[in-house]
Amino acid sequence: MNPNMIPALIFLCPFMTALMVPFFHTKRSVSQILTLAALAGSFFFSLKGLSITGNGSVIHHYMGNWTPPYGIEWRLDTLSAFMSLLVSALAFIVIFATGVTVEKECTNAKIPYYTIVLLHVASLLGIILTHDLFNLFVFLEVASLTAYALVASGNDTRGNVASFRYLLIGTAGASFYLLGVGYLYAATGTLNMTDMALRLQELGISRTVFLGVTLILIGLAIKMGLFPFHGWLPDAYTHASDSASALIAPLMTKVMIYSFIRIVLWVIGRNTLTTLGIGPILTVFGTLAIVAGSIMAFMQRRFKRLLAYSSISHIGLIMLAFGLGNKTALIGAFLHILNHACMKAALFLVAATAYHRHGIDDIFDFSKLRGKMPYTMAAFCVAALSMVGIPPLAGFFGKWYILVGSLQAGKPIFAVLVVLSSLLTALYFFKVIEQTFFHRQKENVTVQEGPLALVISTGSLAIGLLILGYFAPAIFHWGFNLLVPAGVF
Amino acid sequence: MLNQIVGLFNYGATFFLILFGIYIMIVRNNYFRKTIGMVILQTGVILFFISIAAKWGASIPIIPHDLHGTVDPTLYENPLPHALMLTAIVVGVSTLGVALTLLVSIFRSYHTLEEDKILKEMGDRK
Repeated sequence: MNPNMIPALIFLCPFMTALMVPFFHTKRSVSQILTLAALAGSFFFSLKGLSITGNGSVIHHYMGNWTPPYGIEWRLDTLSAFMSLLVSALAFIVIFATGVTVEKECTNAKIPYYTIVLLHVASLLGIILTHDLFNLFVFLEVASLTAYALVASGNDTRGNVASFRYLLIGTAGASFYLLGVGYLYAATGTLNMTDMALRLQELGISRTVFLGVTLILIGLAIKMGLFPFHGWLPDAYTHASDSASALIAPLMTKVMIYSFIRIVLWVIGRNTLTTLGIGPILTVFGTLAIVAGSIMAFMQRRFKRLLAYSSISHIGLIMLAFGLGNKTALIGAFLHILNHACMKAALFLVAATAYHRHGIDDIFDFSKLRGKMPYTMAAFCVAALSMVGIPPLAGFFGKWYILVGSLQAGKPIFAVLVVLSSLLTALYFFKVIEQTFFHRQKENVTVQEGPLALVISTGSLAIGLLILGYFAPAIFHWGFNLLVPAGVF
Repeated sequence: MLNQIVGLFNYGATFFLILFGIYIMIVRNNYFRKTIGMVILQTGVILFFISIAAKWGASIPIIPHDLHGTVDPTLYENPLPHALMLTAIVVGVSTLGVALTLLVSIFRSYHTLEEDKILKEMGDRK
């Protein structure tokens, strides 16, 4: 097989299946199996791509053989292979797990749930693979549109309102992004990322470039839910059906963070970044997000809303690490993207199990769960402790490298902040753990585990966190020069 | 002077449309009006792209069949932003479609599109 086809194949597996699934839409189980097969295909090709790009080489794919800068270029380097592997693997696990809950939550058989899921994942993969700014906008919008549809797919009518509010804010973000691309296009006359980076270096910073960069970054910050722009996120995650939020929450914001970092480092370039002073601004927003997100998470009663605010705080942590302008912190941020996506998927699956099996979504009712779902709650403990950053678990290592990076950058105040974020995370997760395990309860509880697929997926994610924790230093050293090549950072 | 005013008119209109759209989206209480604001914002961005493609004295980008030698780019408008905006218009229409679908289903379950009433009722349903 020609390796140049791999980027297209990663994308086409879910995309072509998305066109096939509607023929089986009356049979959800068939659709689910097709979806899983497509995601497995993506996973396989991502793995193959990673094995080829693992030595730092880059696979280019020119759409319709139009060479850049005229045609659309897709590019698979180590970073995009890493991200597409993460997205396809997590989507596979979540879709495998949520077959039963989809049946229960989306009773309207007219909703082509798995088609939307496949389009969503395909466009996320497109965002990861594309090397063209306008192409990225199109995938951004397809991913967002399918995310709105997923948020509204449940039976809860509040999901519709949350989805509409998400749509308004998301469209504003996409418009800002598009306007920024327009400014950069007017300044450089190209849309290819590599070509634009070269021309921007020649041009230097003009007012046009400055405005374009600012608009693009604001647009992406809205899409990822960075603190002052996070208004859509808690409602969308809380009121979406459990299956949909378990899919959107780990993937969407992470891919947005990826495209933010991709544009800042690969297009705008590190020198321009320093001149414009984007780093310090990001650290300020990150700090605010960590503190505000954690405090808001502590005040919530609904488990999914707590998880949503926890997401906001951890997005802040990742952006803070990126803003530090230190390579250790940057690779730590990528490690935290990987870990946080796995932890969030596990936690949202726990929320889905608790609600699906026992109708519990209030954390003060979690005491009723004591002893009823031993495997699920064990997985929950692993994921929650990993969110806090307890050493042998994966979550520790992302935070550790961010901390080391902030010390290397000579900004010890942010090292204190990373520790503080761990403590704040502990504050709201220990509240849930305390409710679950340390409240007196009547004896003779019968074990009522969740559906088998959910238990298997949640358990495998928890075991995955342990394994990731073991291999995290190895991933860090492997990725140090590969994920972000020396010329870029 | 006149040329400058005419040349900058489009950008002024873009600026106005974008800010007006955002203003409507923030200030209005009715979800349908907010949707209209969203469409105005998108239109502003599309007008911006079309404006940066325009040139004085340029024509449609079709090369005559009897042309010999090289193409003089100053004689033709830049076709790329137009092509991009066709895609962006399609994206905008699909966004509007999803927004209207959501509005219909919101109206069916809440019987209103006023944001404050809907949010109040959402709070009650908790």
